[in-house]
Formats: sequence, C-alpha cells, structure tokens
Amino acid sequence: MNLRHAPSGTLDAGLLVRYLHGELDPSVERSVAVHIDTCVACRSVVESLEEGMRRTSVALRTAAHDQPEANEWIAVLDRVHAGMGHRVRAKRMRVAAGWILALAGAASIASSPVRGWIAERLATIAGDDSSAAIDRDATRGGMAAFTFVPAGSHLEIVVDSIQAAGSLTVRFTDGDNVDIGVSGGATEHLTWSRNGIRIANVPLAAASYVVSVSHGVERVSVRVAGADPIELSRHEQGKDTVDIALETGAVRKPASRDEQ
Amino acid sequence: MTLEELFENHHAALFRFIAGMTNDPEFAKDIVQETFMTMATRPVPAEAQCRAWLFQLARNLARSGLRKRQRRLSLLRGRRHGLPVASPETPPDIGLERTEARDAVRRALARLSEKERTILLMREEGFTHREIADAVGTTTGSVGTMFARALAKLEDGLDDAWLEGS
Repeated sequence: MNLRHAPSGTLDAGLLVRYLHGELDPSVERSVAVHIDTCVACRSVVESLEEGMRRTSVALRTAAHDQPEANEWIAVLDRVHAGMGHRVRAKRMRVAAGWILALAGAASIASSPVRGWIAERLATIAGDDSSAAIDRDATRGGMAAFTFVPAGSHLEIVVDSIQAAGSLTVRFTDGDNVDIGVSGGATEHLTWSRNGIRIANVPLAAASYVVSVSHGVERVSVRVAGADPIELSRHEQGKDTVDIALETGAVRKPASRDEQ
Repeated sequence: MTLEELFENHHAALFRFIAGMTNDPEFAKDIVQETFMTMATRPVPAEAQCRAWLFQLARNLARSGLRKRQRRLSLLRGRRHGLPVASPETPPDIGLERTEARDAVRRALARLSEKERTILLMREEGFTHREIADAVGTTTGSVGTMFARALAKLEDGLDDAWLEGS
C-alpha cells in the first residue's frame, strides 16, 4: 500500500495524526503500524506528535476558564425556558394569528421623560438582534409571550397572549424593568409609565377587551393580530383615559365619551 | 431527550469550548444560553449527532457574536482613540505560577486561527475527524494535517519555560 509521505521522507504528519486518533481504515492502519515498527524516523515523528498531543491536552486544561456557579447555570436554564417559550409561541402566532390576541402600542411620546425612556429602549433594541437584546424572565408560570419589535421610529409592543392571572417581568439587559401584571377584577388598564407598561385584568380567552390608555401619550396605535392598527388622536389622548375595544381579529375604535 | 437532559449533558462542555475559543467566559455563558434557545426554532438531529450539532451551532453563534462585537469596537475606536479594551480579570485565589502558565497558554491559543483553535478544542472534547470536518467546513482527510499544524503552532507559541514545566 502506498502511504503518503512528507517531503522529508517520513510519513505525512496528517496521516500519522489520523493513525494516532484511530481515524484510519483498518487496512491502512495496519500498514502504518508495520511501517512505524521498521522506520526510526517515522517512529520519532509519532513519538513527537504523541508528546505534543499530551502537552496540548495539559495546556488546554490549564487555560480553561472556571465554570460558572451552579446557580448561574440554573438562571441560564430558566432564561432558556422563557426564551424558548417565546420563540415557539411567536412561530405559532404567525400561522394562527386569528386566535391570538395581540395588542400593539406604537408610540411617539410627546413629553419626556417617557420619550427619553422609549428612545433609550429603541436604541437598545435597534442596536442589536431584538431577541438577544431583551432578557425575558417569566417570574410566574402561565403567561410569557411577548414580542418587542423596533418598527421604524417607534416602538411596537405586541402582547402575544395572556393566558392566566399572574405577573410577568420583562427585564431589559440594562436592568430596567417592565412590569406587566394580570389579576382579578372587572376593568382593564394599559398604562405607560417611566418604569414601563402595565396591563391589568385582561381575562382569559375573552372575545373582546376594553383597554384604557392613560393620558400623557401623544399617539398610540393598538392592533389585534391580523387587523390594521388604529391610531388615537391627540384629542382623545387628552382625556384621562381612552377606551379601545379589542376583539379577536378586529379592532373597534370606541365612541368618544362625548357621544356616549 | 428533554431540554433539561440536553442542557445537563452538554452545557459544561459547550462553555469550555466557547470560553477556550474566545477567552471570554461571560460571552461563553451567553452563547450557551443562546445555543439552547436557538434549538427551539430548528429541527434537532438524532441523539447520536446532537452533540456535534450543538457545538457547531454554538460556534456559529459565537462567530456571529464576535463579528458584532468587533463592529461595535471599531465604531467606538473610531470615536474615541485609545479606548481601553477590558481584559478578563485574574481571580485572586489562584497562585502566581498557575496564573502565568494559564496566561501563557491563552496567549499561545490566541495566536492560532479560529479554525485551528476549533480543531484543537473539539478534539480535546473527543470529537471525531468527521465531526470536526463538518464544523470547520473541510474534508475528513484534511483534519489530521490541520491538527498537526495547529499543534506545532501552539507549541511554538508556548513559552519554553511552560513547556519544560509541563
């Protein structure tokens, strides 16, 4: 059998590595073994490679970084769970949007400090992959599907689904929190604040919702998955709260309070 | 196999691999997290191939992450000359001798190409030449040659004192 040789006349180093790693066909391996037994130069190369492999193994172990503590890995696994849930649900949402309640707030905020806060979020999100830039942390089970999308000049926040009473903290990588809580009661509230957005009392799988948007927001658009967003006017924003009726697959702009 | 089982079986080796590749343990931890999250959106191969697939995925995510970081660093350097780049801190509880040896190896590793580091680190984790070839995009037959070259380059880069001590 013809074995590959290096210019020096010894067997090719790559071939000898494959021999030492047990990567050769049995017939080739036998030929190499026979050759090494009779060739001093090749035996020397093999010994040198073996010694190099041993030292490299020691070197790599020496250079290895300490593993994170067990509690850090538990936190990583928790975030993986939350992130996986989000991604799987986001995928499902694209194919079954009609059944999923979504609510989008696209806001250009007239007055700081809220505007500053939003701009900060946009910078954070637009500057990176949105899924990687945001750390989602479901503090309780039952609800964990949120999508943050940088949409041109404004921030679009889509609530994919809210399945049960509880609370969810969406934690940005810079440490700011957005608290979204759902609890028992008769009314629904969506509130923008310096610290985030709060949605309260959204019932499970209800056919329609009323969301109250607090004043201080110049323009808000809200949509249900699959429907066009509606925008609230500045006049409406001037009120203490603005009610928007949301129905699965459609958005109905409410009658103004003057008309009621 | 459940996510928990996959995580339990592979997270430590993935961390070792990416930390060895990048010399950045915090980044490596993030990549391990991102690797398992990405699993949710892709078809996972059968158990026999799963380990190599996870390493390949982690390597791709790390390379992509490093490119992003390089772009950001370039932008920052463009704005502020002489901006110091953070280097990993030395834990206070390890001896000077060990620290020096460790730093010598890390310096030598940093001189290898990313492909050479991948080959050495994957082999250290017990991967076959075929799995390594798939990960770095070469033929199975070439892995031996590339491994021999990487080995020689690493030894060249290591301080004589370290080699004598090992």
